[in-house]
Amino acid sequence: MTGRTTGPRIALLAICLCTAAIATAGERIDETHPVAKDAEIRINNLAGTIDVIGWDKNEVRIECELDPKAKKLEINGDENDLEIKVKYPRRTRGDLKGSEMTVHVPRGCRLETESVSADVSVDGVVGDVEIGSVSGEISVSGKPESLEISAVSGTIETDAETDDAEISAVSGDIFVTNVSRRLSVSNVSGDVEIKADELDAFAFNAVSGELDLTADPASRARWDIDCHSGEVTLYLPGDVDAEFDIDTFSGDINDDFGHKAERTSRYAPGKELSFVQGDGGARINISVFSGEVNIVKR
Amino acid sequence: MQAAQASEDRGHPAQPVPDTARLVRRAQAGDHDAFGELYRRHVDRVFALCLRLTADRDLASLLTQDAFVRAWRNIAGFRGESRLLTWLHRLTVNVVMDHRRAEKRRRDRETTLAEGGEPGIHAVVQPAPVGARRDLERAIAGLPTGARTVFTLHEVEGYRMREIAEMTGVAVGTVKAQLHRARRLLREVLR
Amino acid sequence: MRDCRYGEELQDLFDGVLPPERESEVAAHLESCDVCAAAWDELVALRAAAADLPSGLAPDRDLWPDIAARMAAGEAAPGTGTVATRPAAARPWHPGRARWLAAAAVLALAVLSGLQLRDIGRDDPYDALGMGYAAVREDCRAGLEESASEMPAESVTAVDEGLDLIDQAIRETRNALDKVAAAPEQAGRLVAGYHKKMDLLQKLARLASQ
Repeated sequence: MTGRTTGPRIALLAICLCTAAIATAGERIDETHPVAKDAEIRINNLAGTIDVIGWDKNEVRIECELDPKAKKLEINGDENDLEIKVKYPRRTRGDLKGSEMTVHVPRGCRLETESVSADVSVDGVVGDVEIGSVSGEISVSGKPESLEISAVSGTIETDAETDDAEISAVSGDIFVTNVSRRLSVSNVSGDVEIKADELDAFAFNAVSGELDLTADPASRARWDIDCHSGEVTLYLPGDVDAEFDIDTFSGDINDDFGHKAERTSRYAPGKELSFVQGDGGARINISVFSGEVNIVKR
Repeated sequence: MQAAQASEDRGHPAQPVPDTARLVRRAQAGDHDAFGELYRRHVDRVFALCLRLTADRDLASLLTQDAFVRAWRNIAGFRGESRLLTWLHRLTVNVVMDHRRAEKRRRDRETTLAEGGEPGIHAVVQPAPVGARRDLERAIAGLPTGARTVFTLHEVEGYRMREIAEMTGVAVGTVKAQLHRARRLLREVLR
Repeated sequence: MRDCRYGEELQDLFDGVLPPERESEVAAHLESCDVCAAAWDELVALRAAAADLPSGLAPDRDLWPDIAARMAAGEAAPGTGTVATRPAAARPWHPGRARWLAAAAVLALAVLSGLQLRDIGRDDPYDALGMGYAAVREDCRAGLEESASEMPAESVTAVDEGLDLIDQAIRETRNALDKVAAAPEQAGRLVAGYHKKMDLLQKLARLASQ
């Protein structure tokens, strides 16, 4: 993740925030404003970059170089609820150079970013983080309380340590590490690679693409994996305690624990495999329409 | 709808279906049909919420109507700062709570001879029999009113305790107690 | 089951309302107490089951005529009511909007049981079940056309191709459903898979119309 530093590092202007429209196109901005340590902060920048860094001050510092076509940077709200928005003219063609923004926020804030093609990175925020993007690349680090990412075609990469993450994309690839407890991922056609810790709850819904999941099911975990076409591979510990329910409409089911799939019915295609491994506390359900399912012993 | 359905096989819309924002604007301008389309898109959600809160299908139907009528009355005030569904959802909870308060006032006025019967219970569903493990819906319907309300709003609909306290007019501590109670009762019934 | 004295604080931790100064002690206790570990698992399972409940249920009859009548009677007109108070956003923070397929076959069969499998017509069985695939799909395409000028070209393509993929998946599911009429459990799984596609489709519809 690139750390961007632009402009003079001077904290200025303890402004009482009402509606403050600041700066115009082509300018460099460097503004600092006091906010509550758990303020809600929303950042909206269609194109360019949004780099958010959590720090220990109860202040927001916005460093921004506006796109020449941008109208202005607007900051609205108050100490508890701040919105930072780059305004572009109404009918903007999608191929903007974009505005580069680096925003320092109190670590404990609740962060929300909205963008179209901007690349987004977030680090050091421990509040709830919510990122909405269309085609930008997204990267998250740190220890957010919860993480929600929604994108269309950009790549999503997160190594944030959190126990509550919800990630969805349409065609971007998704790489997740360091999530534990609760994870939900949905995608239409990208590949998904997850290296998680212990998961109580895992939900996966995709139309096509590969899923590679390395994780440990918690003792009463519920994992529900549904993929229309593609390959699903689970890398599980050899001493896993889980009850498996796997079905494919067409495609093999390969299991390192030694069980063999059976035809579901004489009258129709489809295979199924149900078995209990260890104490069977967790429930792992996998349903694939066409594609392979692999249960691999780590 | 037929046009869209017939053209679905060709893969092209015969006529574009308007998005929610456009429908809202038209409804705000007084267009009944646009509001009807919004009704069609959201009625199931509203009804599900009413049903889970009241555990009474007939009452839920009535309150669903009340919710949409109130939505029509207030739609000018919807400024689009949240999704329409969120606004409508919140409005529906208010409709149910208002009904409860009105019922309570009516009951209080009507009777000083009341004996037995927990006020506000509209349970017409038997509690789920032991062993119906997955019949959570019925188990929720069998909960006492306060526990059912809090469980539905917190666990099914995802509101936070502070929000529930504000919406139902009770203290946060009471909300918490009702949630814990609901979990205890559900655990017994679903075992 | 026995209750541990940490039981209440355990729920506070689970619900995210435990005061921060209590967190490390309660979390540490959870690691070492079997009763609390089991209770925690139950909380997870109950929340998952609650999240799995259908978000919409159809009323027994069409309520629109009565509503329209009340609207026409002037009982309500837009703008005559008080301005709605600003709603708090409902923020489900369990693995929220993804749908669990807890008892997928059971759920799907519950839906199907209102209709004999043989009654499902060729034209659009899913609309017969009120699933509204065609309507949502049209929303997507229309929304995409409108937003196309404001989205980067590659993303318009991504959503468009995503829609095509979902279309294809739905078609394959329907064809498969024809083949398994005699196997209700398998039909149940296919319908459950259909629900998942619908969730994705609805997500695309929201994206496309933003």
